[in-house]
Amino acid sequence: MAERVVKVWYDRPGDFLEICWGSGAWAVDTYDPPDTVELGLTVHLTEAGQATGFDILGALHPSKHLPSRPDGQREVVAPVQPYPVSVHYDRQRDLWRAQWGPVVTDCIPTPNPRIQALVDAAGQIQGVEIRDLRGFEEEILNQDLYPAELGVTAG
Amino acid sequence: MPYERWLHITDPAGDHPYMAHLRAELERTLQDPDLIIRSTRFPDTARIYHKWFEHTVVGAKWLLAAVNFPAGGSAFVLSAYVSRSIIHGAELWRKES
Repeated sequence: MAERVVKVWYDRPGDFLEICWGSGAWAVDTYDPPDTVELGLTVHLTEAGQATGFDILGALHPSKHLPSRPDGQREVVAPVQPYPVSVHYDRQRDLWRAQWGPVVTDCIPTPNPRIQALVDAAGQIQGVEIRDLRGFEEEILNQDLYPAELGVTAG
Repeated sequence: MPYERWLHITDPAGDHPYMAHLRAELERTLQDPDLIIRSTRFPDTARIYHKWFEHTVVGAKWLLAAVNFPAGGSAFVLSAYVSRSIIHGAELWRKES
């Protein structure tokens, strides 16, 4: 199985967060969930409608724009293929959690201490957690995540 | 656009590598847009520029460029890609046809 790379980008001056997992798949369409236009979330899609990533314009103060779940947490789920993309923000912990795969079995550290990878049993990255974005003081966060570098072996 | 951002957008492992072939179209979008949408999150500082192209390496598409206009600073492009549809939001300007 070809190793897939996940790219995490955050531009602090523009407050722009982008996460891509398509590994070279061309995203030539977009989907912005109509009920969360205020969030500034845009999902990247291939010609066939497969999600390859998303971006959020305004990641530092998203909570009031995210729909509330019954448990009080806030989350938006974009109904795209092959699996829904869920984007969750925990304001108290300043923690973003995005998942684009069906099953996550582990959460492992990455070379960037702000980012954790959510992986499945086969070692593929199915999501990420990004913490303390409010405390990020550099201009750009630019981190590529490779399963092999994370010590994950395909099972 | 900051060079590091351009490298990121056009990275072969990213999801918009075709933008490497659309540099001229991006410049046209910024100089002569068909439509500008005001960002709902940052109505004072962010704009989404749109321009329709009949022929690109990925077919007939809208080219979108998210541009930040910081107070007292220079504008810069946050992101650029193509889409079949425009971004939802308040229409700030539309080119007369």
